[in-house]
Amino acid sequence: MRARPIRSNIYLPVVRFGVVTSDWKFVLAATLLGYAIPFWLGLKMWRVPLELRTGILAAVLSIAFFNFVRIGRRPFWLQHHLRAAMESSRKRRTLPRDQV
Amino acid sequence: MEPMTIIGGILTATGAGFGVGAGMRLLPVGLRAQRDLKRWKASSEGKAHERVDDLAERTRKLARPSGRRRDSSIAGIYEDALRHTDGAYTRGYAAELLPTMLAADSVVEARCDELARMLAVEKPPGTVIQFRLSSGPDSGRAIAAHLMARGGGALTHPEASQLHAMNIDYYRAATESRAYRYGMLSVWVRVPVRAAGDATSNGLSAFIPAAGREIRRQGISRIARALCSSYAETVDDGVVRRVIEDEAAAKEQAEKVFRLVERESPISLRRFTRDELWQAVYLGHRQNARSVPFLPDMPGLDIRDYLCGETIDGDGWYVMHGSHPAAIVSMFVPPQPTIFADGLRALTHHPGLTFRHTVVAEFVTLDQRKAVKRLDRRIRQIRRTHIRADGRHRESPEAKAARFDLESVRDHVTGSREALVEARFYAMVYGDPARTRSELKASLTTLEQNCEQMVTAMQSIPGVEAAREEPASLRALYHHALVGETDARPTGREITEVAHSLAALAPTESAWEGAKRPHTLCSTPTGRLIGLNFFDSASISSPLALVLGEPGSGKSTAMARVINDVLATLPEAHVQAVDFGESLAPHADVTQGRHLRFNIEDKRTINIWDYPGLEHGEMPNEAEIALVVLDAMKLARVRADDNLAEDILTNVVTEVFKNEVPRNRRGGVKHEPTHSHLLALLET
Repeated sequence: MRARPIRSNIYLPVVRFGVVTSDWKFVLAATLLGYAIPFWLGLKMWRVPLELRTGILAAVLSIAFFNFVRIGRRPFWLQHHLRAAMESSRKRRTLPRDQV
Repeated sequence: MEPMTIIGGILTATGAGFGVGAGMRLLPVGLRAQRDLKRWKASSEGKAHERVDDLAERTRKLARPSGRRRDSSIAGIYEDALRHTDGAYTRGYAAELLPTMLAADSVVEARCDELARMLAVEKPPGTVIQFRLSSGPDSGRAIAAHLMARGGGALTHPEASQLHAMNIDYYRAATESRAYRYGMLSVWVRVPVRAAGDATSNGLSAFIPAAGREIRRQGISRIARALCSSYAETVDDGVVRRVIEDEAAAKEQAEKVFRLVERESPISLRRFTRDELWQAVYLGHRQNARSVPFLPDMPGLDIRDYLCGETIDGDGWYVMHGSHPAAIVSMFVPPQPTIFADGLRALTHHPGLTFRHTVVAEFVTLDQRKAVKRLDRRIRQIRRTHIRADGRHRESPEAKAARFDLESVRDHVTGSREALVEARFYAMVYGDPARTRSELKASLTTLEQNCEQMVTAMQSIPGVEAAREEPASLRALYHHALVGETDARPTGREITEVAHSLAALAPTESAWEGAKRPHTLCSTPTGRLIGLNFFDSASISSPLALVLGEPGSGKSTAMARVINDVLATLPEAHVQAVDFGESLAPHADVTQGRHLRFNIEDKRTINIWDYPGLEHGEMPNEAEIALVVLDAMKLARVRADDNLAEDILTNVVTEVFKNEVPRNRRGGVKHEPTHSHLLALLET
C-alpha cells in the first residue's frame, strides 16, 4: 500500500507565545482597552500614568489566559465551556403549547 | 464624657442586651423546631406530604418542563432532499460496502484515489460529504437466510440434520449474546445554497428597512407603534424563506452538486426515496421510536416538531437521548506520519465492536483560494522567523520541518486535481435503553466499556490519538452528529490535509456478506456471521473450494461441517469424500455413511465389486457376493433385518456377476461390475 502523508503542520494551529494566531485580536483588544480607559479617565498612580501599567497588565493577563485555555486542553475547550455555561444541559422535547 | 456619647453607649448596651436576650430565648425554640421538623419529615405523614409535593412538582413539569426547547436545522423535506433552515440542502444515499478485504492492494488503492478525486472536485465551499457507518449486533440475518433456504428439510439426511440443528442452535445462542456485528453505510451530502434575497429576508436585515418604512408611514410621533408593527411583520423562526422560483433555482443548484458527487463516487450510491429519507432522519432524531409516522406530502411542511419530540439531557460524560445513553469518541490526532488506504480496517473489521455505534467521517470542502492563501501566509511567517535582528538567516529544525510540510502541501495543490479538505472523524456510541436507575447503571457500565474499546480500536491505527468527548464538548457536538444535522461550521475537531490523504478515512469497506441462500453458517475473524453456498450457480459457475491451512488448523473439521450442512440442507445430496488421513471417518460413522478405507498393500481398485480373480474371469464366492449386497442395502438405506430386500438384492447381484464377470479373460483388459450395472438390471 502507498503511504499517504498526514502533515501535522497543516492541521495544527499556528501559535505565537502560546496564543493561537486567531486569538491575537482578542489580546490586542484587551491591551488597547487596558491602555485606553485609564488614558481617557486621566488616572495616575504614584505620579505615573496608570495606562502604562494597565496596558501591559492586560496584555500579560490575556496572553496568560489564552495559554491557560489552550495548553493541555482539547481544541475549542473555551468555546464549548462557554456554550455549556450559557445553555441549559437539557434540550427538552417540543410540546403542543410551544405552538401557541 | 459628652452626653451624646453616654446616651449612645446606653442605647447600644440596651440594644445588645435585647439582642442577647432574644437570641437566648429564640435559639432553643429554633433548635426545637428544627428537631421537630426533622422528626416530622421522617414520619409517615411527612413522607406522604413529600410524595404529594413531588407529584405536584412532576405534574407542573409535565406542562412546563425544565430546559431549553430542542431545535433542529432540518426545516422540511423538499422532494427527496432535506431542506435546512439556512436554505441548504442535504441528500442521503444508501451506499454499498465493498467486500475488498482480500482483494489486491491495487483495488483498494484505486478506490481510495477515486474517492479523493470526488472530494477534490470543485464544489461550493462549505459542502459537507458525510459517511456514516452504522454498526450494531447482528440479529442473525445469516441464520434467517439459511432457514429460508433450507425450507422444511425434506429429503435431507436425517442424522446429518440432527447434527446441523445443534450447529444452528450454537450460532443462535452466539447471536443472542451479541457475538457478531453487522454494518450499513449511508452517505449524506449537504450543499449550502445562497439565493439573492436570503440575506435580506430575515433577521435584522429585514427589520431595519421594514421599520424605516413604518416610521415614514406612521410618522415620528408613533415610533413605538411603528417599531412594534415592523417587528411583528418581520419576526421569524430563523428559517430562510424564498419565493417558489428562487427555491426551485436553489434546489437545482444543489442538485448539480448531488449529481456531481454521484458521478464521481467510486462506490455505488442509491438515492434515498422521500420515505426512506424521512425514516432515516426520524429514527436518528428519536431513539425511542419503534415506528415512523406517515409524513404528509404537503409543500413547506415544517418537520422540526416531529424531529424534536424527544428530550436530550445530560451534563456528564454521556447524554440521554430519549432512553438511550450516548457518548462520542473523537479522533483528535490523525494517523501519523502516514495513512494507508486500508487504514480503517482496524475499525471496520474489528471483531470486538459488536455494540451499537456509528463511525462518522465528514469532509468539508474549503474555499481553495482562501485555503491556499492561508498556506502561503503561513509559509511566509515561518520564513520570517529565520531572519535575526542582525540580518543573518538561521532556521531551527522545527521551522525547517514545518516549512518542508507546508511547501510539500503547497506543491500538491498547485496545478493538479488535488485540493485541501477538512475532515472530522468520530464515533457515536449508544448504550442500551434504560428506564430505571438500575437499568441506567448497567447501561452506563457497558457504555463506558464500549467507549474504551472504541478508543483502543481507533488508537490501534498508527499515530492516532482518540478519546471520549468531555461533558461540555459532548453537549456542543452531539446535536451536530445526528443524521442530517451536520454542517461546515468548525467544531475544533477538523484535520486539514490534501484529499488524497484524508480519503483513506472514509469507511467504505466491509467483510463479505455471505451467500444469499447459504447451506453452511460460519463466523469470521472480523466478527461476522455469514453463510456459504458452494452450489449457487448465480455467483459460482463452477463450484470448487480450496481450504488452506497449516496442519492441525481445522481444515478437515471445516470440511466435515460443510459436508454435514450440505447433507442436512440440500435435498437428496450425495457426498463423496476422499480423505487419506481418515479425518472424516468419525463423521461418516455418525451419519452412517459408507467408509472405504485405503489399504496401500492391497492392489484392488476402490470398488466393492472387485475381488481377487475377477481379472481372470473367476466367479465370486458367497462372502464376496454378501459384501456387495450389504453395501447396496446400506446405500439404499434398507434396514439390516429386511430379509426380503436382502434376498432380492442377492439374486440381482449374483445376476450382475454372471453377466459381467465372463467378459474378463487372461491377458485381457480387466472389466469390473459396478453399481451402475446393478441399477440398470433393477430398472429392467
